[in-house]
Amino acid sequence: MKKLILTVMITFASFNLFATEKVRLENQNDMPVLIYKNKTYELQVSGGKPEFRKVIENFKKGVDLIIYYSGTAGTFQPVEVVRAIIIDRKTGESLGDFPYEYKIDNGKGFPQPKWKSDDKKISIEDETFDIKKDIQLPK
Amino acid sequence: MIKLLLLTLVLFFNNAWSQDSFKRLDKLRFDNQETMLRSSSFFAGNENEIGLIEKGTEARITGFDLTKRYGIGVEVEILSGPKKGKKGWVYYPLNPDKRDVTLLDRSGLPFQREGEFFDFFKKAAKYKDEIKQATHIDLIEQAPVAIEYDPKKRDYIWRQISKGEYQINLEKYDGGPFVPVIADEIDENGNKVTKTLFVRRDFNRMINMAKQVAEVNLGQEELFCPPDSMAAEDTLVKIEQPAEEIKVRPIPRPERTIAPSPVIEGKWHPHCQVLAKSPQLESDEAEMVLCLQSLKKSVTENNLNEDRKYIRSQVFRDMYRKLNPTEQRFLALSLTAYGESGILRDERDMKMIMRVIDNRVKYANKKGRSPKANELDIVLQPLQFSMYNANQNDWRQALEASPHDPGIKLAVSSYRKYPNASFEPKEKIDDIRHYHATYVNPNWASRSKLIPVQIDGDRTRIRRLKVRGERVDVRHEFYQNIAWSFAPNTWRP
Repeated sequence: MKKLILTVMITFASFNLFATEKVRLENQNDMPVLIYKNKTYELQVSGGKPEFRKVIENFKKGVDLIIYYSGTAGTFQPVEVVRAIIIDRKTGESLGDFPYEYKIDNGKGFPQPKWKSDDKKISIEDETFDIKKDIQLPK
Repeated sequence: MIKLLLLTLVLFFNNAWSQDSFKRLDKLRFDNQETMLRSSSFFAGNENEIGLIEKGTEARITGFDLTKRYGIGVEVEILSGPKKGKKGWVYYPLNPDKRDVTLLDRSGLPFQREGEFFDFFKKAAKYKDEIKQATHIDLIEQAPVAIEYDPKKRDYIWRQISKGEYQINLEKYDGGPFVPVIADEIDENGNKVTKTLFVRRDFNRMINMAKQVAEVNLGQEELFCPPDSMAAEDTLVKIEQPAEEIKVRPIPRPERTIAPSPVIEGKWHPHCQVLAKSPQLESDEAEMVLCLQSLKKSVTENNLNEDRKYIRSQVFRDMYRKLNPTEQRFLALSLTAYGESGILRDERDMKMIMRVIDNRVKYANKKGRSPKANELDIVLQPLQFSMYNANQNDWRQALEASPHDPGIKLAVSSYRKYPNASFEPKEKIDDIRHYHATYVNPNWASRSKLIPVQIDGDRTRIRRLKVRGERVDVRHEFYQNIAWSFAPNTWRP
């Protein structure tokens, strides 16, 4: 039984490691970029050093999401900004880079980005950036 | 039949009376045991307190501050009691239950206000303003509806208009029986002062002037058209001067106030031409405060929601749409300095915030952006300057702040002095693009990047403030070379 659990854990960990290694964070011409499947994606830096968080493969049919921490912005209300790049799996093209989540101390009432999706599109609404956008899914 | 006639007459006079009811608003009476009189229309803290006014004291109303959301500021002169003669401000809230004063009409009776609260006081404020500026119209306060001037004075004013010494203020003229006239005069101290006079309209003279203007501006669009409401009631007066002696200045066309078109570079809001002056002097600061007020009014008008709150997206969009680039810079720097420096009330701190904005503009444009980022782009980049956050009220409060608020005066004064301010250390100052209040700790705030800046030879002020229930020392700390990328906001057209 112990062996079985150990095997499962090792298998899970190696998959996770593999997924993480698919994405690299680099600096190109003083700009932080993410390399994913040999494509380069420029990051938006909200303040400080950005970090890669995770890839959600097949978030919807034909698209992946790269989630990254974009930094912390603000002068008296620091907000940790997590953003997501929507990627067309077939072409590798970025379909947009949008706020995904805001983290804040005592952040009750801080408006969060709203992500909704159906078979045809992903809709993002965000009060902070005043965004209301539909991204059509690739056919 | 007689009854019907009487009823019609009563209705007619009632209507006429109520339409002009704001003209009868004259005094107020203090109803609470003790109400604070303040030197400015800023009703928080105790910096501007003059003293407590006793119950029953009466005061003459001399002006209004309409920049508040839940009420208005009323400027008064105390008429009775130990503080007689003192001038100051009291608050008149929208909510009747919270009022400490009663408004009175000219007879000393409680005043019955007609119409919507803010619209009513807007009319009253405009009327008080006109009364304040007017000369030669001693009678207007006593009998605002029926005024008759001394014919000699009336002729004198019209002659001055004909000579081009005085000008008809077409912007303010509503087509009524009295024509507002702008007059430059020399006061007893030898200073030039601009006053608004009201003269009974004179159809003959106006028509004649219009002909003259048409001749002067043949082919141009400066023809003066008498308002439609001018009717036969105006007595046709024989003109004393022969037409050939009359020299007329071109009469400016009134600006359209409905659905304003986008303001292009070179067009200024009221009082804002002072921004084109270089250098701006201390004596210009009062005009700059008025300019800031007119910019705030311009970007907020028609942008209230049902709860009388400013709609963030529309206000921010109008900052681009309605202001020229110099006005945009002035609004961005002074409003942000006010909102961000907030309670610190420190000129050095405000200047350093302005420097951070300028450093960000330069940094953003280094990469050859097109169109180039400006100061408004920088301050409105979401989440960067916390006062503009969607869940914060600071930007609303900054837009609502009265021109009498000491913080507004300080922000404008800091803006004026900012071009000549000295910043140390010189070799690092251009790389400072971040700061935070010391009661928060963003994760980029490392000690190795902290720069103890000096502005005009000194550090920014520390104030002991209550933050989340605890008393702490608060100031802004400034940092160099923190990674950040500029991204345009969605409000720029």
